[in-house]
Amino acid sequence: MIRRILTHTAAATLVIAVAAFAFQSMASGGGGMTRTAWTLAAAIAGGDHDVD
Amino acid sequence: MTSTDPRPAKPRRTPGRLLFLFAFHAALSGAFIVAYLTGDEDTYAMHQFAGYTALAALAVRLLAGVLTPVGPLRLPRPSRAATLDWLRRAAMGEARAWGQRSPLLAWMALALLAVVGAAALSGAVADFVVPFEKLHEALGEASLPVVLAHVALVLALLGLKKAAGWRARSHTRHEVIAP
Repeated sequence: MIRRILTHTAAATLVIAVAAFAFQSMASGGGGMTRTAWTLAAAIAGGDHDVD
Repeated sequence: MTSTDPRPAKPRRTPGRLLFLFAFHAALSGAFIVAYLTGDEDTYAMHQFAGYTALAALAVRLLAGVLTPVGPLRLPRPSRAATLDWLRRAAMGEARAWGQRSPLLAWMALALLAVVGAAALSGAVADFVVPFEKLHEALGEASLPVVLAHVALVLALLGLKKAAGWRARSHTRHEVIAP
């Protein structure tokens, strides 16, 4: 049961991440996927989630 | 009812309802992971997309809970008496308490629904009312420890259940070997 829940969660995370990535690419107004990918990588690597 | 009576009959989980719960858990946790990792101004559209996905998953779950107040889809209703009783029995090493579903899970589910729901809702409000952004950020930060506590609780209960199984098997072996 736990394994099934984890598999579903991993699949959903992937689907939502891909959909959100596509949404960001479209929203950036022709910025392109490469730029979005770099921005995303920088955001995750930076890990800046603190309250200012 | 004596202590030797079998467990009371529970409403049977239909595969559809179980699948719904799996889908809800997957959608909410997936959306939370993506939203948390993209909580940066440069990835705002991704964060927004994941946040609204989480909000939609929570809305569907709440609706299902309101429409079906009985059965597996009902909203968590933690009981203080049941929790204290389970904690006492588990601390005393009662194997049945170790193996059964813990009432702590209902408390955890409620805490998760509250904090993740508040984070998602405040994010949606912050899209229109800018001062809500600080509250949304604080709630987002507060969500992570609750999510990690949920994972830790599930793992601990799984370990307890396995320990109960080993103990039961060990007792059975002793009964077979002993004259």
